[in-house]
This record gives sequence, C-alpha cells and structure tokens, in this order.
Amino acid sequence: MNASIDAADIFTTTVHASDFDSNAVLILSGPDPDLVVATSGISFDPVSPTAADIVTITATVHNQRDDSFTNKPFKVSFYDEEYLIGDDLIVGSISPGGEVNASVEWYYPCYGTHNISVIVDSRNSIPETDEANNKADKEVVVVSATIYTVDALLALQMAAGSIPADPAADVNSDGAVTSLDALLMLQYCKTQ
Amino acid sequence: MGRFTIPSTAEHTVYFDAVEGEKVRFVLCWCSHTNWAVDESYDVLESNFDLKIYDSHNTRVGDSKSKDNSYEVVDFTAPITGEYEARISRVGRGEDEEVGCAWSRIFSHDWSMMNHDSQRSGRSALRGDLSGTMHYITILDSDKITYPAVADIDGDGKQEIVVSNEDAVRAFEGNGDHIWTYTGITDADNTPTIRDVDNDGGQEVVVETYNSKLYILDAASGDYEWEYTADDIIVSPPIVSDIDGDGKQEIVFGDGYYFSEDRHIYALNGDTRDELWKVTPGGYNIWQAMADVDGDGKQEIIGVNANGIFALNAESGSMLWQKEYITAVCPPAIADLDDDGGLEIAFGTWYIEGFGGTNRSYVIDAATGDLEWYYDLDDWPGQSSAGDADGDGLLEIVFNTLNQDIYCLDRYEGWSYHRDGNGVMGDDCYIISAVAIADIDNDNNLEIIVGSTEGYLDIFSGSGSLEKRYNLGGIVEDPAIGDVDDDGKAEIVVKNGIIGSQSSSLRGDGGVIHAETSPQKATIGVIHAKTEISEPDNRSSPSKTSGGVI
Repeated sequence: MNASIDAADIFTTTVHASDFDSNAVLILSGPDPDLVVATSGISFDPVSPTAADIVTITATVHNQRDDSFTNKPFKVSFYDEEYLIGDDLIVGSISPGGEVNASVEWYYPCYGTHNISVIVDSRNSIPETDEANNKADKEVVVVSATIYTVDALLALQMAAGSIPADPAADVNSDGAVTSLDALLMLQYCKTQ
Repeated sequence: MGRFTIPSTAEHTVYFDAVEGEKVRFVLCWCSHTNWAVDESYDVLESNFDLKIYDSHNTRVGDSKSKDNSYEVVDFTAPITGEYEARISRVGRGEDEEVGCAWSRIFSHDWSMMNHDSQRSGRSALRGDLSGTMHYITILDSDKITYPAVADIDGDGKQEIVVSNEDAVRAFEGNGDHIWTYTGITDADNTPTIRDVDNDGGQEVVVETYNSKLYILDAASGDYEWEYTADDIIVSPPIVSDIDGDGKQEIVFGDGYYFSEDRHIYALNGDTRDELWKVTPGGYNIWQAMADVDGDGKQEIIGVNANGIFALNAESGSMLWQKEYITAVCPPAIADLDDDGGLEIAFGTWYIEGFGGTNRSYVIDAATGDLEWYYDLDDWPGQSSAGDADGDGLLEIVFNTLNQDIYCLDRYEGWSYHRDGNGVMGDDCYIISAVAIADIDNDNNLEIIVGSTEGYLDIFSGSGSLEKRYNLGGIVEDPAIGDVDDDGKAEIVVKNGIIGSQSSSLRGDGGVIHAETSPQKATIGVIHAKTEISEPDNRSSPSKTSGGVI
C-alpha cells in the first residue's frame, strides 16, 4: 500500500477509470444446448389409428449436450405433411443430457399413409450448437374407421402368410398381424 | 385473481407467491353500491380500503393508501422467494363491499445499476452453465470505459448492454451489435442506471458525471431528454425509485468528492424534473443504497460519507440516524443478513496512514444503525455483495480487497481466499473489483464471480474453493450477470482494462476462454473465532455474537 498517500485521493478508488490506457467490455457465455429429435423418438397412440381416433403424437426431445441446459420455453411443432397439427410449448428446463416429451392431439385423421414431421424449437428461441438436427419424420398409416368382414378375412390371410402383411391390419398394435387382429375385426364388425 | 366480499367490519388477506427479483403488481378495486334500478347517481363511493403487501418474513414490501377512488395499486420487486400476503384493510366505516384483485409477476434479470439493484446486493437470480469452456465476445474496445449495466432498454424482451466512458454513452445488443451512441457528455465515470424515470412505459438511462451533471437519456434511442446540474461532481450512481409512494419514480443521488463538508444528496421528481429536496448530511464522499430498512413501507436512503454511515427518510430527506465510522468509503449493501426479518447494512472502512480508520468490514442494523458485528482485515475491503453463498440459510457478505483477497463472511463463520494481487495502480488509483453472486453453473448453489488486477476472472464456490479461473489478461473488474443473448441463462459482462504494461489478449473478435486451473481449495478455509470480533462502545450485542465465531 502506498504509504505516502494523499488523503484527498483516497476516495478516488475503485471507480476511477481515467488511468486506464484501454478498456474493453467482454461478454462471456457458456455453451449452448443441442436439442435433437429422432424418428425413433416419435410415437403414436394408438399405434395404428383409425380415422375415428384422436391420436396422440408424442416426440421425445433430447438435449445431447452434457454441459448445457435449456432455460427458456420453446415450441415443438407437429405437421402432417405441410399442415400444422399443433404445437406443444415446453416450459421446463431440460438438464444436460436430459430429455422431455412433447405431444399434441391429432383429431380424426384421414385414412391413408401420413408423413408426420416434428420440428423442435420451431420458433428458434433457443440458441443451439447445431440447429440442423431439430426435425424428424415418421410415417403412420391411418385405416378407415369402418371395418368390413372381408377385412377380417384378409387379416387372417396375412396372419397365415398367404398375402403380405399390411400394418393397418395390426389393430391391436402388437407389431404383427395375427389371427387375434382378425378376431378383433370381426368383433368390431359385429358392433357396427 | 380473486373476487370476494369484505363485510363492513372485516379485513381480508389474499395469498400469492412470488420469486425473488420478480416485478410484481398487485391491484385491488371495489364496487361502490351501484343501484341501477333507481339512479346511477347512487353509484357513490361508500368505502375506502388500504392495501399492504408483506413477504413471508412478515416484512412489508409495499403499500397503497390512496383516497377518493375505488382502487389501490402496489408495485414492488420481490425481495425473497415465497408466499406473500396482500392485507386489505378498511379505513373507517363502510358497507359490505364486492372486491376484486389481480396480480402480475414479471421476472426481471436486469443488472440495471451499480451492483445489480438499489440494495446493491450484487446478486442475480439468473442461472447459467458457465462451468467449463466459456466463449467471449468483445463488444467495445475504447478508453476509460466504466462498468456496464444490463437491462432491456427497448422493451423487446431482450437485454442490452449500456456502458459509458468519458465522453459517450453507448448501447449494444448482446451479440455486440452497436445500437446507439450519445456523445453530448463528459466525465462519466460509473455505471449508468437504467429505469423508467418518467413512468412513460419506456426506460431511461441516467448517467452521472464528474462535471456535476446528471443526464437522462431515452434508453431505446439514446436521445437526450434532460439534465440536472448539481453543486459538485457526481460520483455515486443514482438510484431511481418511488420514494414518496405516489406511484412515480424519483432520482436520488449525491454529489461531492473532495474534502468539503457541504456535500449533498438530491431527490428529483423523475416526471416533472423538479428538485424535491436537497440535504447536506456532511462528509466527503457519498455512496447510496436504498431499501425500506424500518418496515414502515417507505424507502430509506443509506449513505456512507467517509465520516460514517447514515439513514435518510427518502420521502423528505430528513436524517433518521447517523453513526460515525472514520473512513467509511465502501458502498453499502443492504440485506437481511441474519434472517430475522429485518435488514442489515454491510460496508467497509479503511486504515489510511496519517488519517486513521481501520481495515474492517462492518455489519450494522439497518433500522437503527447499531453495530451487529465486524471483521478485521489486513487491507482495504471493496464493495460488499450479499447472498447465501454457502447454502446455510444465512446470507453472507462477500467482498474483494486491495490485495485481491476474497472474503465470504456471515455472523458465525466464513472463509477467505488469498490471491496474489495488488490493486494499487499508480499514485491515486486503486482497483478492487466488486463481486457478483449467482448460480452460474446451475448446481443450485450460488457461485462468487470476481475479477482481479492480475487479469483473472475467478469463480469461487460458496465454500471457498476456486472452481474456475479464466485468464482474461489486463485488469478484470466488476462483473455483471445478465441474459444478453436471450437464451434464458446467465452470461457474464465484464470490464477488462489495461494500465501501462498490463496486457490482454481478448480484444477484437470473439473467441473461447478456457479455465486456466483445476479447482483448488480456499487457502484458509473456515475462519475460526477471532478475538477482534468485539462490541465497540460497550454496547450490547445479540447473544449469538458471544460465541465469537465468524
């Protein structure tokens, strides 16, 4: 400490910038998260929906950075081709390496094959290290809501292997077309 | 929201939650016995209610007591996280009333003035992931820059950075893009204050200068709005607050620098620009902080002036109490340091050869000015910040010293970390970086962020270990915590200066800063009982101090 300090100067401390030759203002920031969604992370409930169903589409959003988290709401958007099904707003933080599920309800889809797209952070509100891995697609087959006896017969043939299996005939969503699917179709026909 | 009936003889309490740092508005309105069937003239005001807001410590954080209308509005910044009570009381007699209430909560992470807020806490509620490699950008490389303030200056929901130097005030986006520069200024030497001074819904930048002028600029555009000329140079960054409960903002600041006994503190009406009052508390140098220190629902101004410390009624400027502390030169910080529901003030004094004083950190009762405890130091302390750094439920005071040592103390224990540094720069410049407190690694514990004269930005855990050291070069001072890239997380905005042979490599384009060292432990660790923790003037002290442990 300077022993010959001038008392008049003692109060010039700590806020006195005039002796500096140069100054800079720096912004220091941590790493950005990286949100990803994969085809394998998209699921449908029911798995094989009919046109009479309200389908819940769920996508698992993963933060694959282990040194950064999210702390800001972001939207996950679900599309049927180019048509917006809906958005889910993710409000909570996703921890490093963590994940969260986003979902929307898809009301009475038309029968046929649909390509469902999921876009994470669709409003670009989260700065990420990689913005190119925020989209994934998955196809889903929607069967007609009306089932005829002949459909049960076809399912039985699929179960027997005499004709190729159609995923739309897997009405119990167990991953295979079996005689049980045919039975369920018959029971459904009986109730119609 | 709520709607209810308050009988003619009863009061009512509404409970709601708020998080520390949130800006809260609570609105109450009531019916006035409309009788449409007869005549609208029957719609007369039959009752009057007052509204008082209390935090979970039963500390009143705001009130509204207007008359001749059917509403009350209280705006406040939540001092703590927890349940709040809106106590609605009837004034005089009245009829049963249909009452409605609503409240809004807006979280502000603004570091909009010196040491974050008007209590000078130095503590941000932002969380970050600043625990590994940090990226940096240099947004300004100029001479004589002061410490930055961080706030949303244009209402776009994102924070910007405002910084002044000798002849200009500048605003930047968080990515470094320049927004505006105001050049009609000289000798600006401290952190600007950013607030909506005139209640027009837009922010203003208030800049104090050594040429005795206070400038008020439109924060969004940088346009000049008005100025005020004080009697002497202005050192302390102003505080903008509603000091008289009229719902409008006032500007409080002090002038004076050198040895003279006629230094003033001013209060200006932010809307009319009139001088509300000017007082002369005495002393040489005047730093201010502000809070409702006595729980009366109104703000008090705490000032230090090298002769001691004092409290003023902010509404009138009248002196509430004054205590002598020779060489009290460090800006005060106000916080509930012992968790008793009342506020304390932390400030430092210096020993100066030929002048006297002691190297000490003091904590006094904010309502009375009575000493609670102090801690002797080896050299000059800097400005204190306050936060529960070690997670024990009590707030600690944290400060740097001229030798660049870090202290973290509460009434019972603490630690210090000795850094090899020297804040003496030339004959009349002394550098003691202020300390920021925030959970910057998202581990639910607060960290201590502080610069040094040796070019380091250091990050300490609350228990005293040096968690990260970033070598920025030059001289690193007064970090501010903000969310300038709008990712919802903390960034550090810091001044990096060069004097003489000091150098910094972090100029020009952005880059990456790597932590220089592996984590270390505090060189001292817990400080045990110190005989110098005593009770000056033979005043009684709370029994908890008798243990003699800091």
